[in-house]
Amino acid sequence: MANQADPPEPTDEVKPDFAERLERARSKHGLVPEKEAGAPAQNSAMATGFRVGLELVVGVAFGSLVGWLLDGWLGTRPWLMILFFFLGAGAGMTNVMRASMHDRRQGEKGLETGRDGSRRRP
Amino acid sequence: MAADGDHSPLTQFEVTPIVDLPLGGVDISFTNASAFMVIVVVAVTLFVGGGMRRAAMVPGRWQSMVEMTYEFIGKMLYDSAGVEGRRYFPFVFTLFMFVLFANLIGMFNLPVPGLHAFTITSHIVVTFALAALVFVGVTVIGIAKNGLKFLKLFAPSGVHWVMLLLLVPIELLSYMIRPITLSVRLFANMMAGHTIMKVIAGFVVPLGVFGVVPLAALVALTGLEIIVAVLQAYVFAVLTCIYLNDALHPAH
Repeated sequence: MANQADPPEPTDEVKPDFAERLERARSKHGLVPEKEAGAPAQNSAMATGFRVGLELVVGVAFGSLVGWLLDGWLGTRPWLMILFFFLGAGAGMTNVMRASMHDRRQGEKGLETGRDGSRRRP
Repeated sequence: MAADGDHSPLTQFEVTPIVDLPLGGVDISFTNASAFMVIVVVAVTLFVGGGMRRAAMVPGRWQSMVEMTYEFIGKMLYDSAGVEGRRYFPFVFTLFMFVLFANLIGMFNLPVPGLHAFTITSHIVVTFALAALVFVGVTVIGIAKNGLKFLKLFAPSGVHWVMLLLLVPIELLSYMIRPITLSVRLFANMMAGHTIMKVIAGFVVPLGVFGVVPLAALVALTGLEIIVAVLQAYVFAVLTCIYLNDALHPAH
């Protein structure tokens, strides 16, 4: 009975301090700033669209350029450029596919780590 | 405004020499771009060094900011490139901080002539130099770490050789367009954003009372541009991490 009177005294004194210290310790270890730090990770639709569009355009343009240069070198004027136009388009699509697959993986990872606020780090 | 022709929205991107330094036919003048690169490096050093000056157990505001950036990049690198990637943390962190501070310092659009901030990342020379550095560095790391196995990056395993005839050129091309997309993305975002802001700012005074409409748009755009500045620095760093991961683990 006497013991029950004891705990309220330390908890009243320790609790606010402890919560504050815990929060500071958590923020120091990067557990809290998930919302600030994770914000840029959720790319806006515009940024994603721009990235995808650029990837496709540059793929086709660079492929065509390589084909054109190879044509000039080998003297097969239109053919390699036509071939590399399509290869470049394929390369652009490959990059878009990779990027979106990476985004999805990161998204799933973010959900996993966000739930319990912990991170898997050795 | 139309009277003095040098007030086009593109004037802000002009590189002007501060100190002329012709060195044997090569122009190595110290320009406003060089000056802002120095400012960016000094600002990053002050930010990180200042935050860590009193490395307290319980960090203050400044120290927290520095530690948050550190943890953020560390986590990103670990998530993308795994344990082996953490060795390259100094490089990725430096790259991220440089691009981030260059983008953000470029947002100081002071209306005082001569004090208008210059955005070094709005020049493709700068971004392409950074992207080429990443590209060459990552390729060298990949070959040094994996030797000939690095070439597996271009030839996925378990594919019939007929398909390889088609896949290898595509993989090679997609590898080679990386520095281009990496640099064009950052440069185009920064340049387009700053040009749009300047164009809209040009409407404010001529429209008189109705100038509040473009002015309000300008306020909103400034916010958007700050988001873009941070986001593009993040995208640059995260793509570097992904490329690093490909170099460290070439067999996908």
